[in-house]
Amino acid sequence: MVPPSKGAKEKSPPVVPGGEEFARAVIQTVHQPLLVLDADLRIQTANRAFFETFQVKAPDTLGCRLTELSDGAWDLPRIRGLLEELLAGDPGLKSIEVTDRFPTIGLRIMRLNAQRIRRDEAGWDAILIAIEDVTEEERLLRELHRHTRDLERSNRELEFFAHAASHDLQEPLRKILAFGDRLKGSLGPELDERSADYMARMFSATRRMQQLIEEILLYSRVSREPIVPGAVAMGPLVRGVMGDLDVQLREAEAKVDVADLPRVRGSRGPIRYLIQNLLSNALKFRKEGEPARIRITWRAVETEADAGGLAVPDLGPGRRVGEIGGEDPGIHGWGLFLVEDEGIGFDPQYAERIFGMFERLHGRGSYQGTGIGLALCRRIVERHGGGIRAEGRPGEGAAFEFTLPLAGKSEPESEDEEQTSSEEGT
Amino acid sequence: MSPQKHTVVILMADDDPEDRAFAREALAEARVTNDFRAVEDGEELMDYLKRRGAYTDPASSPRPGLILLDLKMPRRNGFEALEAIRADRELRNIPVVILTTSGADEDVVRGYQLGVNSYIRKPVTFDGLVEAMSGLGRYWFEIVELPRDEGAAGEEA
Repeated sequence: MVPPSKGAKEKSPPVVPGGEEFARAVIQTVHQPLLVLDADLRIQTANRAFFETFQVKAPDTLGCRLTELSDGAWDLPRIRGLLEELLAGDPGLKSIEVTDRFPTIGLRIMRLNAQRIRRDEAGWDAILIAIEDVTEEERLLRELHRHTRDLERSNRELEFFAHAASHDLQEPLRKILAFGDRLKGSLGPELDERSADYMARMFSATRRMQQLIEEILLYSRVSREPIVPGAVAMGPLVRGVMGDLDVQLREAEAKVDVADLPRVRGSRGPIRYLIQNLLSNALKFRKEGEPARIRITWRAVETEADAGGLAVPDLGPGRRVGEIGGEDPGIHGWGLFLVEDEGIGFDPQYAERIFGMFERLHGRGSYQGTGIGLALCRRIVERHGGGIRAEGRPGEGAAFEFTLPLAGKSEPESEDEEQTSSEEGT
Repeated sequence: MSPQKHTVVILMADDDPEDRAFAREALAEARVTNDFRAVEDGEELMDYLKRRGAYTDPASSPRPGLILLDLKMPRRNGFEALEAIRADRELRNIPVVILTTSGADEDVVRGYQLGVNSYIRKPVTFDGLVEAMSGLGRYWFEIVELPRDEGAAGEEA
């Protein structure tokens, strides 16, 4: 080869490694078992990975037909068919999976990639086979599926139980309250102050229990119902919630700033609960003597990093994604929503804990509430594929951020009824 | 001319004995003095209305001028009984008021769709129940006209 002259460097073609030495080196280095068969289907080359994986030795392997190896372990109709196809028909890359028992190593699931290559100079064909032992992979996948099914069933049963138990608990509670009421009526005038006090506390406790059960029922109902996705216009939804909270808003002399909000893709009822809960919390935990100040804003995000690590709905294969602001039904990016207030705030070390079931940061005497609201909010957001988190500082207000998928322009409106917080009794 | 108001029979269908007792007491306290009868479920309700089973003797099952209907009952629930009543030519004129613990929207809608006259969610307190019964009494027996029952001629109400 003529060495390139100075100044002609750019013109010389890139050096491409070729030749048998190179090929042999590649075959030996590759991690997967590799075989090269000749046109007679005899093994010309087998790499070290092959010998190690199948626990066979070179003398027993080279020169043999693949189907003669290992007590005929490779003599399977599908492998024969694959090889015949490569020889007679399409030589292009093919992939099959076979299960067979191999001597020493036992039952294995193998994935074979095979193709036929022509070596121009000598003119003879070779068949290249790469083998992958996917036994472990398949086993783990099956186990994973089984675990998931078990978990799902267990969850369903738990939710059903919670629902049934709560449902049945309501009837005796109702009777306690009803008879307590009669008792108060008939005894009332005769009771001394202390007894009257005891009775009042009894009923108060019973009413709390009733409220708790209603919330548990609401939680379990939202948990069990499928999310029927449709377009939910957040702007009108927030205004509707503010209408419902009118009395509390006026009591708090609240000033609520709501940005222009997008359409999200989800179920209207649960999303309404989410907004109502966050807003009423912001009102409840306002600073005493000051009007409540609340802001609701949002921005579009594409990735979890964008959202500061908050879950961004996982799409998975097959779910349609469109561009933010796009037309069709389906998810079009995600919205990161922020509900912030200037109320009493909270100690940031509790930022995760407040989303726990029944977790409260204040004693019952100071603030009302069952501690289930935020747990349900998280459940709702997660069922839509998003995430929610809280930030706060004592005396400096709180901020709640959550992600929800955005709807395309032509997504039909979500039709489902709003969930009421009342549940069926007996 | 509509039947004498104080002779109108109120028939309640409710599987809960305490709720039946509460209703009777609340009516009394609201001074709604009508004859109050009660059955335990939808099946017994139909037996009463159609004068069969234990109620073949007309004296035991005077035709009610108002039915208070619970929803959750064994054997035949409130909705099923309501459907049967509205399907029956002789019974469909009787005003029916659902009185139930359920406040679920779908139950309210279904009740009205099946032709119930009113839907009341059982008040939690006894006083509330007395108020409801007082309202019921005023509305159904003083304000509105009740249909005169053709088949009731000659019947003691």
